[in-house]
Amino acid sequence: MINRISIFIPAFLILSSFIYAQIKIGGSVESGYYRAEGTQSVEQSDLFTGLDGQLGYNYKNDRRRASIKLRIRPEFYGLNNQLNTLKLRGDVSYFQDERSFTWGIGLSDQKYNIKSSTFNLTYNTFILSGNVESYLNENLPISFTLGYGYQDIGYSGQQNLDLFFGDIRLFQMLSENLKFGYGMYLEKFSITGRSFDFTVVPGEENSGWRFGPEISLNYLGDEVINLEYRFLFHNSKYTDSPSIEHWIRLVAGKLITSHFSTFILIDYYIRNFKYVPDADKYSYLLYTTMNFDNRIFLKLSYEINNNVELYFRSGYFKENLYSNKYNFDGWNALFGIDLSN
Amino acid sequence: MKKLFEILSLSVFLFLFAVPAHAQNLTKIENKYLNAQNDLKQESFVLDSLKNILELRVNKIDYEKNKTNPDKDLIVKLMSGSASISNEIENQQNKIDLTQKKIEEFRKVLNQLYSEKIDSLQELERSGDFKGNRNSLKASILSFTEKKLSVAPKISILSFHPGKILEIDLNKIKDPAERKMYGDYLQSALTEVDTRLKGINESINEADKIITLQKKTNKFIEESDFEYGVTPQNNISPSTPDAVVNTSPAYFSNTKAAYAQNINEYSLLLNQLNFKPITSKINLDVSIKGKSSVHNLSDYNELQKEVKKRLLEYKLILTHKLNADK
Repeated sequence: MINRISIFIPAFLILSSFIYAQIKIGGSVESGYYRAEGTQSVEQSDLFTGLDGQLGYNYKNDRRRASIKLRIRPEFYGLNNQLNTLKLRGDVSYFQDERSFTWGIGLSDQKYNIKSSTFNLTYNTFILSGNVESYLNENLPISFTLGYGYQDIGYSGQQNLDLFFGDIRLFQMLSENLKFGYGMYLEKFSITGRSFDFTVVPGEENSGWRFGPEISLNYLGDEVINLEYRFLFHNSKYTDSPSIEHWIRLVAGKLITSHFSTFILIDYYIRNFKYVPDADKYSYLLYTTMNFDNRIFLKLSYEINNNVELYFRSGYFKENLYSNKYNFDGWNALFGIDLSN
Repeated sequence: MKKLFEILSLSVFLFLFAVPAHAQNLTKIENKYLNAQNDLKQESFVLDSLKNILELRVNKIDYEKNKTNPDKDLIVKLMSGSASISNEIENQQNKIDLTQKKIEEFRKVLNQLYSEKIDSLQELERSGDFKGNRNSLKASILSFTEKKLSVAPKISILSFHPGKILEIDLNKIKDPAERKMYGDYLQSALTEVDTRLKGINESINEADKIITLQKKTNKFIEESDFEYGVTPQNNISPSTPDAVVNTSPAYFSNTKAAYAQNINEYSLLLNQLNFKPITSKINLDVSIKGKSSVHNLSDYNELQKEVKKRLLEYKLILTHKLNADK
């Protein structure tokens, strides 16, 4: 993590030399009730408290936009701190507008630690990606993305996932407010690691591809409605064909009044994998990603002024912690206050 | 080769000129602008003369050819002379093109300098520190605003001609009927500006609402995703303040079709008023075709706000001219 921080600090200093700087500072405190039903040993229901701090720096001129953002979020499940989590994240991005296209690069780095009296799980995720959005044909803009990422999961065992990914999307306007997008996603991954008891000879590797079409619908008017769907084929050493994934995301939002707003996010994920015999033996080499689970979030916020917002949010969550075997799921209802400059 | 040299010269000129422009004395630039306009007049005069000579020669050739016994030597002589005049015309046209480009650049620079001057004078007017004659300060602001408007290209989007408005001085018109006619002209221009301002205010409010909705939606998605880690699938586009859901250029390029007519109209309007087309906030490449670099809704709203600001300036001039008559 320190090595990666050393990337962010020079980037921050370089950006600091620009004029028209805009430093963003923000934070939130939220607290409420949660009820958990996962495989981890926490109380089924208790008090939840989450803190969130952000420091950002934005630069913008006629053609260029750059930003750096650092974020930290500790979470406490239960009064006796049976389960704590800590997330640290840094993002750097740079975009430049050309006459008929915009290009940009970005990197994200995140450390996520989940700790309880019985286990300690750490995720390190890093993504570097480049993006070109061409609007040479204004009626059919195209977006290309190429990137590299890795995800290291550390527990009593270990898993290291490396991947190269590419994405192409085209957009069409169906009406003044309704946009339709379609494209393809392609990913080449490789996984190495070790089991917690060293029963498997180190050096074993799982590699494969994930690829498939994606579509989106986006409505923007008095309210915003965003619907995305991806259908991916999964091909790897430890899966048989056909192994497929579906992912659907719905985001909707509305400004009820100039102060009140409401938003909802629904993620629905279906994984239908056929594993080869003995795949269980190599569970530490099976593809594991976060963010692909069923969840629903609802948020209702009241903006007191440009700097202070009160909110209530509630959601169902299910975190796939590792190897599709261990998860942490439940729901919460929280009140919070958000401050920003 | 010559054309290439001329283009290079122009590029060098523009580069050299663009860098120290702000530091140069306003009067010097105004003089250069006037000189360039005079150059253009002279060059156009020479071009017209050359065209006349060529036309005369062509007529002579035709006349000679139609004769029963044409003088072939004379025809050859006239034709070779015509070829050389044609070359001269082409060179002269290139000269004119370059001068016109220079004038355009001068206009942009002058426009910017006038704007800066107006802004600083208005700042002075607002501050309590100014102890001098406030009427003369206001007169200076009006004078610079008029100067700024005086370089307006003649493209009609507004029904009235901005240049004409500047020339009207009701106090100098002695004939009551004529004064009334010009007064009505100014009044109708003021009404039109008010109508446009009303429309653009509504549009700005609508865009502000959509931008707020986008920002809040993006924040909500960021919060939700941050809680559940980071994966390539949800970070396909590099993170940027306005690229998560709807505000990316690719999105707006689509949406732009819906706004295209307005963008085009605003661009033309700014052109007509010759109001600063390139600001520190928006990259608007104004042309009569209305091509622009408005990449997202925020840029579009900046454009609307720029048009509003300029219309308000015009309203100030119109109101002043009408009040001067009372």
